[in-house]
Amino acid sequence: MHGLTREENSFGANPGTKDLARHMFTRMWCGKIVVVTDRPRAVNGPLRRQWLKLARKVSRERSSTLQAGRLLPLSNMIARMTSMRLTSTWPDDYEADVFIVTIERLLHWPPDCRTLYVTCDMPLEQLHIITALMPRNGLVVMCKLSQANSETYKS
Amino acid sequence: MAIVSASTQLSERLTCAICSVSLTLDSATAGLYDANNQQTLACVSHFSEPEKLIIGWADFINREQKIFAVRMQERGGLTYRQGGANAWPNP
Repeated sequence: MHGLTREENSFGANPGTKDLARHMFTRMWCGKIVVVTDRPRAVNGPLRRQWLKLARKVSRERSSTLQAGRLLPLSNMIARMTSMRLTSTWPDDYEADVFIVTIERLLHWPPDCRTLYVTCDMPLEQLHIITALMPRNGLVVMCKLSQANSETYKS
Repeated sequence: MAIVSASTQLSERLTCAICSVSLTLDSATAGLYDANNQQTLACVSHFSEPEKLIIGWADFINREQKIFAVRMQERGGLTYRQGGANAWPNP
């Protein structure tokens, strides 16, 4: 993982898709995002829901702001957030912005994304294979999602 | 915990892009890219306040776009207009 920035759980004790969505918000302009999970379909729905909740928050901030300088960035954020596509299909749906996939799928076809979230246990050698095509200064976030948080991680 | 390993370039810029406070790597998270196409950092604590996170990044983008626009003007005399389908002026 030479040249990559690595983060470990920055979300506190029981991270869920809400925390993941907030982190994705800070990385949405940086290129494609890949979320590695052992249950893609179980994560896709809650993550999409949290993402759209956050988009509504941005929308509320835009409607309440009185500063002209903030209006355009906030409008662009809303447009970006509502047009981003989350998918569990890898790599066929290449036009999507966020891929939620299993380790096995990524081992067949490593991603060339800028941001990789690892939400399940992954051996280090597999992580090295998966991050092989990531560009320099890409970001790898290790954040095991809390399965106890059933509201956000339900199968 | 937050950033556990980073490039030396990133380790030199330990300031929050949102609130401008000094950071340590273990209280920082990777944020957007600035006008120089460099990775910026932000405080991990901003994740717990989504409103501040949203406004903080909006202000950051606004600030960096202004820097980028001034630089474009200086380098090639190009006028950078924010947004719109025809952001670049006709020759």
